[in-house]
Amino acid sequence: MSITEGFILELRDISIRFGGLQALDSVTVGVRPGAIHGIIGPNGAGKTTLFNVLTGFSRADSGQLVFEGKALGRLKPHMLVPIGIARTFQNIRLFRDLTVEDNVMVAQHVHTPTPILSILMGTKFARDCDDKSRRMAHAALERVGLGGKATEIARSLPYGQQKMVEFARALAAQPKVILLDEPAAGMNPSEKAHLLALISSVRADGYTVILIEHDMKLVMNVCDTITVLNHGKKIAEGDPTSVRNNPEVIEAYLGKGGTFRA
Amino acid sequence: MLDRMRGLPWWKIAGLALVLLLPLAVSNRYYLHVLNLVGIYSLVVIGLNLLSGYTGQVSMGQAGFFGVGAYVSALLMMRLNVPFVVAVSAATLVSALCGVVIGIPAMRLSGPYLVMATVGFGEIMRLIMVNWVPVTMGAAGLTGIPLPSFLGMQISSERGFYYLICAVLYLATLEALRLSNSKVGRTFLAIREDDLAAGAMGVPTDRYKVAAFAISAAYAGIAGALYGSFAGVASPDNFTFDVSVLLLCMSVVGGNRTIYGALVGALALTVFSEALRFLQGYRLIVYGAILLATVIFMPQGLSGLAPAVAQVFRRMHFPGHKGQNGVAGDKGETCR
Amino acid sequence: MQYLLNGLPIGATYALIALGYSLIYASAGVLNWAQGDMAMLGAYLAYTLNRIVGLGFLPSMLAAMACAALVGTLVERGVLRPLRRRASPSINLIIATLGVAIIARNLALIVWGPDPQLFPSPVGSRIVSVGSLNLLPQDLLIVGVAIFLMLLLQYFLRFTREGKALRAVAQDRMAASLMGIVVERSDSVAFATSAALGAAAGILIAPLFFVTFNMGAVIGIKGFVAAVVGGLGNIPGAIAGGFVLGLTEAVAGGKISSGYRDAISFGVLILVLWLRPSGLFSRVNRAKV
Repeated sequence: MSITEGFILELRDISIRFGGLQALDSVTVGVRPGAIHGIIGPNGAGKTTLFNVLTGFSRADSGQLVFEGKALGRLKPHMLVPIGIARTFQNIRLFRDLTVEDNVMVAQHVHTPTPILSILMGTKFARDCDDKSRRMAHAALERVGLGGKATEIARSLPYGQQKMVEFARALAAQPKVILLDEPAAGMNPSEKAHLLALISSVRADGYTVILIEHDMKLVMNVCDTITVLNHGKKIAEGDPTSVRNNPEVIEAYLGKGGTFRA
Repeated sequence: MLDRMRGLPWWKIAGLALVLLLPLAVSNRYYLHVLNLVGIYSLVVIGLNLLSGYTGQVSMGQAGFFGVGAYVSALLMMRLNVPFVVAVSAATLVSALCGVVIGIPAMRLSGPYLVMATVGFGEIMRLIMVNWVPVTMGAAGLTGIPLPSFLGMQISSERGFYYLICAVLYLATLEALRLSNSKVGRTFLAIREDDLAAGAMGVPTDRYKVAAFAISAAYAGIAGALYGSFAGVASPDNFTFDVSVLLLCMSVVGGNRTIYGALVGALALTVFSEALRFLQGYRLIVYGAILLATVIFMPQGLSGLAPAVAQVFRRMHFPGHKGQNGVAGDKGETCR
Repeated sequence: MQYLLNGLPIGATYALIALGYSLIYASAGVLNWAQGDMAMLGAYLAYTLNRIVGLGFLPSMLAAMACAALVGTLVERGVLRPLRRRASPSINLIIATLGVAIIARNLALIVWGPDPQLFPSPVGSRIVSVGSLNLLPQDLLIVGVAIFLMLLLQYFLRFTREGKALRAVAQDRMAASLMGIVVERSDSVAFATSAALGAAAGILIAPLFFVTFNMGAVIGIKGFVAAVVGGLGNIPGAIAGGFVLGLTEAVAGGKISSGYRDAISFGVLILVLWLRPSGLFSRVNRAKV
């Protein structure tokens, strides 16, 4: 398949094997700029593995990652943000003992280079750089609705708000593509509604969003395109309606004995 | 937060005066000697705090860097007649390089592996001091290390050393505070908290970990160089694993997550050690007990008490004010 | 070949200590700095019981091991549990066991004095010759007892309730506790067992080297290196690592230079940590994101 035009991020023929298990088998996904692209599938389908390949935590055995038309070589996690990709984590990985604003400011690391000499001499320039980071962080926090929480210690926030801090952190990394790893996990209905609104509004600002999710309602409501994985293979891709009615998809879920919550 | 230089509060001025005038008030040379040792150790512990407390890279090999600083400075002055200031600078640089050399393999390690690797490196450096006899004079060590002399003066009295050490310590603390309150400090902390997440946010964690090792080695190195001229002698016995343990104690007891904790810890333990000299063998048992007690009951060390003290202060003055920013979130919120 | 033979008893000792480290690391997730000092404690206790109180070798050894096990339990209760309860960072746990080690060493110094004590071998010191190779009967004793203890440990882990509980905790602490296993008790068992094994190692090695208050330090580090070589937390790996280190040391020490024997251990440690930190015998663990 040669789908090169119009995709901001592509996975081409990604395969990866863990021991005896073929976790991903020639998976090809193309994400359009400005889209909200969902990746779903029953447990064990390979979603998280795909994410790990995308974010440099795992290395595919074969296949290519292409970002804005350029092939990405050996990807290491810290290369993501400079390229323009930011991610959140399924099991929240905040800097727990730091304040919320410090957490978000870390994402500005590559965007506010501060010469070490400036820091050592205590110059105004260094302070200004820090102020700029702080402003960006506060803006991101406002965006997700946590403007007043900047000086709280991260671990003291309730779960849902911690997830929002992660979101803000991803925003502060000034990415082109945001990767959300099960953003709705553990959230109550009102938090999910807020998340849905946030994802939609963020798309309006020009971000591309890729998300892994189990919550079907959320996925169907917010995504433009959905890719369905099962047993490491892509079994369907398209807009929510077509995916929802795809017999293979239905079988993948119901066949496992689970219910298809839509 | 480091305030800017204008508008110094009264207690800072008083503190400065106290520090500067102290040697005139303290007539006993022995006490001054102890204070000088405190100053030197503080330097090492500041570096250790930056490495272990801030960046989360435990190191039990700082004595090695301390020794490198002492030996390099002493040898440059004694064999090549290098002036004091140049010798000390070179020693700091060499020590920092050693930090890089150790930091590179160490950056991949964590937990007990990292601890043991640093122990191993510390021991290797000591073994080099013992075995490279033509250069280091082996187990006997170096004697007659020249006193510091620069700008035409020579420092030979306790008082003189006091001011020299104070000056160096002041600069060192200033820079450490600047570093820790800056983007660099925040990055170190992020690496300590979750280096995976830090990497995902664009931080080149490997580089920063190596830098942390280099910085801590540099601090230990300059301290070592001062120590060499201060004590006049340097032998491998001064830089054993036990010394690394002592430094760790100072770091932990003072509070390894702050810069001032280094000074507090060095002061507390050195004073303590001198005061309890009469206990002899029991003294080390008490060290161990203090270490245990601190880690269990006071994990933030003595300097960690500062916010708690401030807390009590605030409560006394503003009853009913919550002021606590460590309240656990209401987890029930998400499970409706 | 003689070197290999010399390396066996040393290797067996290292293996016992390494087992202690790996047991505790696997189940409680802690590096027990005081592991080597358990060997020292065992040696001193056995020495006291045997030489001063007049008990036979075997009862002395068993009693010493039991005492060590008790000490291990005390350490777990008094040090590890409070730290666990306060959710301390793992560095604090390591420092805490370091504190225990310092206390133990200096306590021994006070009780038994700084002079090294001689512990005569219970099986005599007449060299036995087999062909061109020479052995001390003590060497045979060490290897024999060590292997016996290792087998005993395997039996314990496989077939007893406590042992199985320990293995469950080592696999997944949270799941084990949800299954009704009292995790703290498992930790105590791990500490006690490790201490007993360490004590045995110390007692076995005592007739070959003197008993000093500082012997825990060296043997502790060597034992740790052995554990890392085999894969920290890997039980059979610890045994393998112990023998590998002991044999390497003996051969290298004999062929190259005996003065640098300690440096060899450090060299091995750094090599392994650099190239394969998970140990030579472990499967590489992928970080879970």
